Amino acid sequence: MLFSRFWMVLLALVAGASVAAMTLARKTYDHDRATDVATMVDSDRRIVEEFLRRDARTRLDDISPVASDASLVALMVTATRRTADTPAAIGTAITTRLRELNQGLGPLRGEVLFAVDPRGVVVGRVGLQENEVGQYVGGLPLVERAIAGNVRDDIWEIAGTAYRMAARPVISEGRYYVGAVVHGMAIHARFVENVAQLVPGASVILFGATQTYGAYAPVPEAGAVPAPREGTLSDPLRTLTQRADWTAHGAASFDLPDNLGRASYGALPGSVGAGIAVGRGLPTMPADFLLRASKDDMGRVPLGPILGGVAALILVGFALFYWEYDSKKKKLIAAMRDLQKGPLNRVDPLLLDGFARDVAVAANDGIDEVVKREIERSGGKLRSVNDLESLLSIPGDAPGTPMNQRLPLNEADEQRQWREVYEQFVARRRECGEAADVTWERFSATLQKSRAEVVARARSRSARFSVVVKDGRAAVKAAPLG
Amino acid sequence: MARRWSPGSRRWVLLTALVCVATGSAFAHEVRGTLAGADALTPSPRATPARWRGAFWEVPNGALPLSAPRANVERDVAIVLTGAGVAESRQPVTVPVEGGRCRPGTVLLSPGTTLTIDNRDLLGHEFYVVRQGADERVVPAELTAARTRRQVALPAAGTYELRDLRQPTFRCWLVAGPGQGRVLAADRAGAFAAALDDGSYTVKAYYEGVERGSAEVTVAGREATVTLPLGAAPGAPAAPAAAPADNNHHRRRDH
Repeated sequence: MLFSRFWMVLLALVAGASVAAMTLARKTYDHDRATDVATMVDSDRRIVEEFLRRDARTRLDDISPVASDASLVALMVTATRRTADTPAAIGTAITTRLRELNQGLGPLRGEVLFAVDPRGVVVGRVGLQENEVGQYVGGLPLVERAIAGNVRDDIWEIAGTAYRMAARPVISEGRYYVGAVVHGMAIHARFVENVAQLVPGASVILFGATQTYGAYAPVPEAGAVPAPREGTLSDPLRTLTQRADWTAHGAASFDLPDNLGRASYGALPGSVGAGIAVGRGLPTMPADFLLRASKDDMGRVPLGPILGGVAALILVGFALFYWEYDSKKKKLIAAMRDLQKGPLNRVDPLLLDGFARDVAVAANDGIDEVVKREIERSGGKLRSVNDLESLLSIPGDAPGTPMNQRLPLNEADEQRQWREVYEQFVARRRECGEAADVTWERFSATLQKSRAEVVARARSRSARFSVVVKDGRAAVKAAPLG
Repeated sequence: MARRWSPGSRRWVLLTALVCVATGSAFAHEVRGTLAGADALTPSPRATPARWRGAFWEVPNGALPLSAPRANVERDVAIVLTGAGVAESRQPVTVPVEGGRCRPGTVLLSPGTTLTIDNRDLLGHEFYVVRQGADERVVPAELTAARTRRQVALPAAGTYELRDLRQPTFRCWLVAGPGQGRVLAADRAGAFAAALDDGSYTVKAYYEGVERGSAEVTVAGREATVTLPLGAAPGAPAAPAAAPADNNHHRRRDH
């Protein structure tokens, strides 16, 4: 039964390994998805940043008609040549022209559009505090660089609203700078939603130093992991400046608390300390994932190889079981049948192996004990248990009747029987814990000597030998024969 | 019940006021001054953090060369008048920030004087203070929203720079010395004026925290004029070459 037991252990190990592999696969899946999501949100943030840059470039190009409008340039020349500090008179005309030009921008119409003279003073304004002129804004980097001849963009926060700003210089006659036009579009929820369309499945917020300008969180599809909500993304903003990577690089990525997802924050360098955050949920494999498997998922399982493997394991198990149990059981049963039929009165253990041999030895011992008790119970002559041959050989014989009525064996049968006795003797010695170092030559010589003594003493034609166990020791019993 | 002035009383009050004005004007004379050489003032190059350089589109227009950076005389140059009888400014000293610039660009104040930063800008600033030439903040950064004020105190005498976390190119110089004198405002042509009693005065011009010119003027019973020549900063190297204007032509990502 060694291999069968080994097989049971092996099956248990396979079952345990399957459970461990399942758990490991689940953890590995979760870890890999977390890594993927971390990479993805960083990529999402870069996509959004790149979009904002391209958006800025587009706006810078699209306000070119405003900066180069002949009427506005003429008005700006007049404003530049004025002597008064406040361009009150010309300011109205410039504001009117700016308003017309702003309308002409269509969807790129700015919520703020103003013109500044080369000194940095506002000379016309549409939008916030419309018509107010005379304010100095020339030190603001956006305006300062535009007045110097650059096209530049920036992000401003005015009265709680963030604006995407763009500025271009105004050039007169191709030779003189006469100021700049500054264009601003508000960042509102709709804009953030449009930005979020670039990164499907992710939530996006645009934030400033003290507030969130806009946020968008997509509605998750059925079964999909929801993206973090606005509050989840904006909560870490309070401690963002304490992060070393944020301070050093203006960007930070980390897992959100309570496994609510992963977020990537990026600063948008500018005049308001603005930034963007992109977040995604963390997909994890649920514990009951097998119950949630769809038919399609089940269809992807390689049932053929799996069932083939299971069948192979079953066959190997059956084969081992047959080899170590069923086949030996059959032999044992056959030996018992032979015992039942006679003339043998014992089960020969040497014809069996494995557990059947153990059963046979135990059965022989049991028979001995039964006979012994039967003799005692019947009150008959108590003979040695070693006279089992005479007790069982001839039914009806009086106890103690010798076996000399039996015919002697021929030479070949006698040698075969001696050989069997020898093997039984060796086996019994092993069972009794004695050394089994008796050689066949020595054993057979002893039997010949014993046979001669029995023949001489009992005046029989031969002698028959059997192996008995007496006082825990194996011994050979001789009986006259013929 | 409110007290009512009789017509006679009103005449006496009016006459007394006229006499006082006439007497006062008899001792105060106008000093008119002019800054000379202001066109030679060039702003010092200001480093921009590396990760800011590629953050914006900042490219030349392509049609006309960029104009060289120039000092804004009426905002960047501080003219300070000192002398007997010149009263110190009231405490605390207030410096307005307009359009991304302090006015004036250099603020003189006595050590221990509280400085009020009056942010009149459209935008908020995160001001902090460092010693000139150093990066260690002696006053931490803190948001000063648009149309709000913030008070700071300088730890000791010396020259400091007021900077803005949001606009790395923002500079305002704070000179904490023996006294701030009286600050005079110049117009865009560099002209300034003050009504002074008879006496000797010293007029100094500061640009980027450094005294660039000084002149003595004496008022003796009539209007006086003074020309304040602006020179190079003491020990300053030759004017630095203008930084390449299109160094931001190619956008880079730093994170």
